[in-house]
Amino acid sequence: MTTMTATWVKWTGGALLAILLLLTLVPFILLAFFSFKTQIEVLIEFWGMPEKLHFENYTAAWDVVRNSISHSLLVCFSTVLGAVLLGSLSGYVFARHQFPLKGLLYILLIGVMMIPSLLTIVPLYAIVSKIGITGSYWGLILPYISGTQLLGILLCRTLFESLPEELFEAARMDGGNEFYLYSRVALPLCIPVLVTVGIVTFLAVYSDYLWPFIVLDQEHQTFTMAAVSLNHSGRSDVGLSFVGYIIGSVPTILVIIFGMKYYIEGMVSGAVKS
Amino acid sequence: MKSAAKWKRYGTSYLFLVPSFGFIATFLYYPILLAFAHSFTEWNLVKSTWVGLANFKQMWSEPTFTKGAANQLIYTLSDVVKAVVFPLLGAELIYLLGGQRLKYMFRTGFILPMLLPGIVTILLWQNIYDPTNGLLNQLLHLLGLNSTRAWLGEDKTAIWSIVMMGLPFISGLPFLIFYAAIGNMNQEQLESARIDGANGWNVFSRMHLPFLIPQFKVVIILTIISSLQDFVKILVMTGGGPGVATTNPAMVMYNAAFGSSQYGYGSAIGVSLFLVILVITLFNMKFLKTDY
Repeated sequence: MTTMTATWVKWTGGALLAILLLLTLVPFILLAFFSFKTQIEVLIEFWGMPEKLHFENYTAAWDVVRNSISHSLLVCFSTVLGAVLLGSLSGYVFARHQFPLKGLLYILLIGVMMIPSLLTIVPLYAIVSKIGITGSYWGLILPYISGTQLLGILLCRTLFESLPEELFEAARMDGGNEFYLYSRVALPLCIPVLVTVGIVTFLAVYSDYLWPFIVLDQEHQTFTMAAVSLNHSGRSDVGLSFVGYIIGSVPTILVIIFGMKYYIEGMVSGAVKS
Repeated sequence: MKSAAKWKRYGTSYLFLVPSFGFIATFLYYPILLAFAHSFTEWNLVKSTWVGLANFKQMWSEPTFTKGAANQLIYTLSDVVKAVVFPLLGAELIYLLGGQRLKYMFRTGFILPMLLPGIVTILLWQNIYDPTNGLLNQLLHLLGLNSTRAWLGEDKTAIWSIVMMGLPFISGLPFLIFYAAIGNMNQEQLESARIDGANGWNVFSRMHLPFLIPQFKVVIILTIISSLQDFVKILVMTGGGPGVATTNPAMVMYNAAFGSSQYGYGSAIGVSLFLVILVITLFNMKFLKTDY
């Protein structure tokens, strides 16, 4: 009797789960389905399969989003580079050096992670426009680096503190200066952590819409900006804009698949600093 | 001599920290100071005039803001329900299933939408609500209910359409948190409870729920904080409209600053939201003690 109830529960649970999964995947199904349809087919035969696979949507959309994707990648890679270098450098100093005010300085840095970006967005725009870097990628890269380096400092410090002092002592004996210790001894050891930082940073920067939208003009637009303007104009061509979304999602999909393990670690450690 | 060498070493440490602090000072400390200072001024980025508390008073006398604050209650409450109930349901159902491979398949399936940049998901939902090409109206049409409703364009439906986007709300960090926690539960204890005759519901309510309390706290606090800051989906889907039907305080802040160049007023709203978030954070640190 109980086993029968158990089986029944299992089957209902499974069926419910299948429905929930289907709903969850609706965005993907929509993307895939409409990316091959022409606008006429969307209007006349909404539910019908496309007459033939219209790959011209793909070539046309590629021309529309190509530049914006390369802009996004440029900003992403520059930010990742900055975040990784600064994160590991400061993380190294906090882990292996002793100096006055160390505790205070560390809190001053890491405490900023608690500040919501909402507070700074208006004055940050004032600063960026005063420096004269609105309408340029620097207007994104520099503020992004300041925020994203913090996760790097946090994670690298933890890692460097766990290393044995002999490792550094040996290199010091060989006459290595502090920069040598950082770049030749410490840096290679923290590559897995830096990959995590890099992936989290890349995804956050690539997906950001608000700040590029505030700072950049159309000519320099990032992919997220291009996606929104595709949508505004794309009411007249759903297939084309959907293909644009697909192409623009390829970088994030690749990065996540490549770094799934690192990504989840980083997200959880960023949100739940255990 | 010895102390000179020591200070030289300290000097190296400080020197290495200069880049990090340079960035932080320019792009975080300075804007934080500006936000507070200018929240008491009228500011057009060139010149600012001291107006005392006028900006803060303006917030509560302006229907755009009060409506936004009321909407924020709807957004935050629904965000909390969405972040707790559905991800937990998904995670629990997966644990009911037998078979590691099946579990893995479902878990992966549910987090798949996280592959897409957030903006793409928002735009797809905007498309779902489209009056003519949208999936929702086409679905209703299929069911014989002809609808040409502009879901995002009408006062009554707009805010609920935004609330419902992302259905069934499983994909995301809360799901991963619950899923991992349930996997870490003591399986032997659960098994022995079941042998002692506890039914599934009892196991869930007496053993799972109490065990998951730390996760509930983290998820709820993080959700409230991010909900107060979240206006990109509003900006993209409705711009706060029609009228002020879907706006929230963060959206009002954005419009004040970047729509009508009232940077002082915008800063005041930013500061107010920050203070609310600060109170929640402190409350959390003192009473709930979640580790995040």
